[in-house]
Amino acid sequence: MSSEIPEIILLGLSHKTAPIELREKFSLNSEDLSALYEKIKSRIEEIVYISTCNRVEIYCTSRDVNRAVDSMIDYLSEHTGIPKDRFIDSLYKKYSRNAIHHLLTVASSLDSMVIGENEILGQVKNSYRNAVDTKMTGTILNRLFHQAFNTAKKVRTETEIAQNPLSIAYIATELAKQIFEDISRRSALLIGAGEMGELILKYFTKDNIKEIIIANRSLHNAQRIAEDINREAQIIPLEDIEKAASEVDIVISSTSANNYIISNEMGNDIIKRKGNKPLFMIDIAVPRNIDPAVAKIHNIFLYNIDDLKSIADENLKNRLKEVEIARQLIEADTEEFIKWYESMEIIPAIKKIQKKFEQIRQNEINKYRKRKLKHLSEEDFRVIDELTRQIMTKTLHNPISTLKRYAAGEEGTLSKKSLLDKSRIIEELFD
Amino acid sequence: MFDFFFILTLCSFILLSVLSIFSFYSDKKRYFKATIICFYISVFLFFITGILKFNPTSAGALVKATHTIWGYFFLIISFILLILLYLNFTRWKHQLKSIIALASPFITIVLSFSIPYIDSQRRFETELQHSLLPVHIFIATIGEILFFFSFVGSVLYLVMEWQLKKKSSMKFIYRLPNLETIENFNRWAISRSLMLLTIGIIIGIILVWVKFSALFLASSKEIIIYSSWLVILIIAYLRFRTNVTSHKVNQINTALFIIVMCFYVFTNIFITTGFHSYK
Repeated sequence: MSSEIPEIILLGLSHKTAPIELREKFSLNSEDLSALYEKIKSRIEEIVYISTCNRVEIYCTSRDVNRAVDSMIDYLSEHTGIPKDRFIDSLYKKYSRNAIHHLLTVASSLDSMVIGENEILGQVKNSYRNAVDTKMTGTILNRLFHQAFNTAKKVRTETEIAQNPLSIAYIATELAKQIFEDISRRSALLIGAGEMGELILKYFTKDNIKEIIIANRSLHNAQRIAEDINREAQIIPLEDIEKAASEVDIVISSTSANNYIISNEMGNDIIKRKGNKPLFMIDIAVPRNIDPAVAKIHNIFLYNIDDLKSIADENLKNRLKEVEIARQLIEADTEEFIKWYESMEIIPAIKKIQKKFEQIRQNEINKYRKRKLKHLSEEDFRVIDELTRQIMTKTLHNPISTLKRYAAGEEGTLSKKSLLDKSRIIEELFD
Repeated sequence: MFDFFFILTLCSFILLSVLSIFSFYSDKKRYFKATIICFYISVFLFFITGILKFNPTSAGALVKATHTIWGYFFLIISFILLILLYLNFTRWKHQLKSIIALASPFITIVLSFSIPYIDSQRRFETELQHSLLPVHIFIATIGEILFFFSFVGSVLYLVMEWQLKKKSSMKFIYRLPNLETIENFNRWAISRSLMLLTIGIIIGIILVWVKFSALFLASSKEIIIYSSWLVILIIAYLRFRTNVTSHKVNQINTALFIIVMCFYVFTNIFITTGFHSYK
């Protein structure tokens, strides 16, 4: 890379290279980041810091790569109080192409612990916004991060990587949405006080489920769940579940009972009382709480923990199939970005040409203003100024566009090295 | 010119059928976009073909079109297309992907089935020349077409229910509308079908009474329309009853539509007697 163009540098720790005990030490708040920026700003030009539960990454640009990297490592060691040799092996360093490719991969959630998860893009956007607010970004990182957001969006829309949930609780709520049009008009009955049942109920609460009934042997525990999910709930004893089940649309069962608490006969009675309206039953208890024969009753959709787990496994397989397509999209976008990035090498030469032409134009206008054209008014000179500027812009348009195309590698007749050599000659010519 | 456009239209509907099924299967936005573009092109080509065939110069062209067997096929497809276009601007537009995937192959089949009748000389001769006749034809046919849409909804319901009971991956489940939405669509389609067919029949009775001073002449078309109405009434009744499962109602709807459809085609094409048959 030419010394004229700053190099993109990435320093990072992720769930793949460092345990959480180490990663959490490298979490920087905005003050720490400002301190880091102050310390190394003479060696770097732009910086964005990303911190999530699975990764800590610093993206920056610098013309003095080695010293910038050393300074950052020194600062991190000093800030965390951890000697360099304790974390240097866990720290990955990537430059230019690899750094660009890595950011696009991270934003597209291909480097996440759960591939295709939704949170990472929001976290990267927040990190970038913080850097923009504190004026730590410039042309290169602005463009790079916008490219990363576009690529992530493309991966999300053109592949099925983000579809098909993987968490059991989330799958249960998504299945409910495939049965009912609007969860906010539905009610749920939670039987038992198991953790997973509570988690599923939390997801339904997020979807503003209309009514919640909790049935448990210990009414105190039922009350605790209602407080945990921060929702008003009707608390009932276990003996009343048949009546309650016929009044709700979703039943979640997670008791530690050793026998079926909802038998096939009870299932038939419930659906009759409901007037044959659909009932979604989630049995996440082991041993099972609901007789599996209930699944055969029309309009009852019964899923046990194994059913949900096998859907999660199947969904994971489907996501992994999409990874290859996503990688191809990332690869293409990385190349696209690199073309733009490398075309920046020609910018100094272009600027010199423009500057030289502008100088000539200004000098000539001034010369004529003082001598042969001094009888003209200010308005006339404004027109002359506009006219000469247009002539200059149109004259330079073609050569500059061609130079940019060559620099972006779109024209095959000139090698990059040859182009850069020639651009230096151009710079000298117009110096 | 007509032949050229007819072949183009048929090819376009074949492409639409393939695209709509593929778009449904792949669940990719770009394929659905392509499906919608192909749908609009097909609609355009179809109506151009109609213009070339019937050369409409007056308001009575719609009625004239129904005086030939092929014209009747044309009318049925036109109404299906118009309802599909209408659905695109209603709350059912999110369900259009699955509805088109079922409706477009049906249209393609009807269009292919109509080929032998393009130049049929058999005409619908009726003494019922009355200003209410086009209204009767229009309303009754729309009523029958909505019955077709309730059939589409029933198939979707049974497929979705089967998928949910099968407990397979969510990949396919995500492509279908949710069960409650499908059921609401079915109720919407069947209730409107019943209402329109009832109005269409009442207008027909008035026309027969005015012309023949009778309420019922036992022609094949009258029998099939009364039978359809009875079937639709039964399905509508069952749909709003709480002691019958949606599963059973949708099975009944699917089966009865196929039976009624077969009789409908048979009545219109093969029976040449009666006061409004194609003779």
